[in-house]
Amino acid sequence: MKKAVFAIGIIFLLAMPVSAAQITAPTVPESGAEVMPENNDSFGLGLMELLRSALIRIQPDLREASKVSLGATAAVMMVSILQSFSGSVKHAADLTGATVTTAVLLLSTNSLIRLGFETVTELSEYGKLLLPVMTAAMAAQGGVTTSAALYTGTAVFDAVLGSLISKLLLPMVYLFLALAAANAALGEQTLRKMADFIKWLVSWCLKTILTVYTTYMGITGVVSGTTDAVALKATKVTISSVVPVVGGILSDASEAVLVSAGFMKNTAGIYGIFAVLAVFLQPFLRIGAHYLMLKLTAAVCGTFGCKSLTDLIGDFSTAMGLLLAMTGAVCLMLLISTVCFLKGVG
Amino acid sequence: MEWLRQYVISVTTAAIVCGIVTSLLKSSSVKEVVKLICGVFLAYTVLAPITGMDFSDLAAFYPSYSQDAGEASALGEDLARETKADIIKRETEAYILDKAKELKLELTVDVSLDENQIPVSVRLSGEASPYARTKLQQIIANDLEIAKENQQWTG
Repeated sequence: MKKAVFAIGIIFLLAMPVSAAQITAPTVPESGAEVMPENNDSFGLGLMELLRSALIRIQPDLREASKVSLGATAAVMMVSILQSFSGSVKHAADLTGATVTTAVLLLSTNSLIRLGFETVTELSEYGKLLLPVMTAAMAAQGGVTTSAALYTGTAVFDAVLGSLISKLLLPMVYLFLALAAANAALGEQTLRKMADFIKWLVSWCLKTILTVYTTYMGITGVVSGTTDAVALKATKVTISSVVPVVGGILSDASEAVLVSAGFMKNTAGIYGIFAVLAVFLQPFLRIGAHYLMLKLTAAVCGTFGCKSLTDLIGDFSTAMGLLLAMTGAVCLMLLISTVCFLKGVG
Repeated sequence: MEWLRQYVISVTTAAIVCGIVTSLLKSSSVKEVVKLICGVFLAYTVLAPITGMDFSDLAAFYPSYSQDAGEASALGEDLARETKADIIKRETEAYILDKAKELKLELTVDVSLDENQIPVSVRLSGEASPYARTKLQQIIANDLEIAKENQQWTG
């Protein structure tokens, strides 16, 4: 059955050589080319292949994250020993511990924040190439109003999110880390509320944008879909009013165009989803590995009884969590838009 | 990102300086006053650059996206229309050639469509007897609604 459907698709594709050549998904960016699945026919198998390739490549990062965690744990252990003394030695230990732990963690964190920023930019750039392709394919299938509305919504929200991340949220992550380090250096909770506020602000911005975006996409899909469905029905009525032979030819041609445009849209959409995931997955797993390692380190360091430094390591893992949320939000937005395009007309 | 580096360094340095100053003082009312001053100083260090941030271009979204969307969907519409026109033209020509073959005629056929993609005229070339020509003209006029005056014969 699958083979028969595939064969019909190929026949329709061959029947329209011009458009078939023009509506194809943009090639996956270089950063995702390594993990891009070769077999795109089955979505499930492709997804598994993608995940396997990404997981295989994550091992060096796990080792790197372990080294950083061990360094931080050793620093906290030393400070805990120093803190057993009283008086100014304790204060000096707090200060030194905060400085050393921050220095140990900041190097890898900084490179991961940069990786997150590059991933967000790359996803956004790929989205800008994929959107017109999906829009054209959907319009060819009869979803002119829906495709234009989905394009506009996705492009605007993507631009808003991209600008917010690069201009506000990423600097906020740095600020969060600076406040966390300062808080640990002071040995008191002076700046804790400010750091908590930044964490809340970043999460709130991402959640709000995604909620508004999904609501917009849902409403647009229903409203514009109805308009397009009416337009398609009107076309069918026009065809039925023509003499039978011409009507038959027009009806066949419309059907062929709709089916082949749908086939192209699905092919481009599924390739696009794989490409987006290929770009996203590896950096996400890298950041995720560091996030989990830092969580584990904070849990281990908690047993040494050095609260300020344990909190500091916890804050670094929170920063990684915020970074994961940012890259995840951009990826999710692209996936939602592609799925909305794939869902089709009406 | 240089400003960001400077900012993070200044916040951290301010906190460290405050930490050193407060740790040097013994518990007294002076220490409370110094802690208060350090708090104000830290808050200023953290908040001062944020108040100077420029978000003006965040509001400049984006009338051009609507235009881009229109262009992209128009491209898809054009592709679909061209493809559909191509299929209609080929199928109509195949229908005429099929009927011509039944009349034992060997012709070349070129069909033209109007803006609604309905066949409106046809150019036929090849040898045909008057009977076969009339018969085919009738078929084209009846089945395809292409009037006889829009059927151009050559050869």
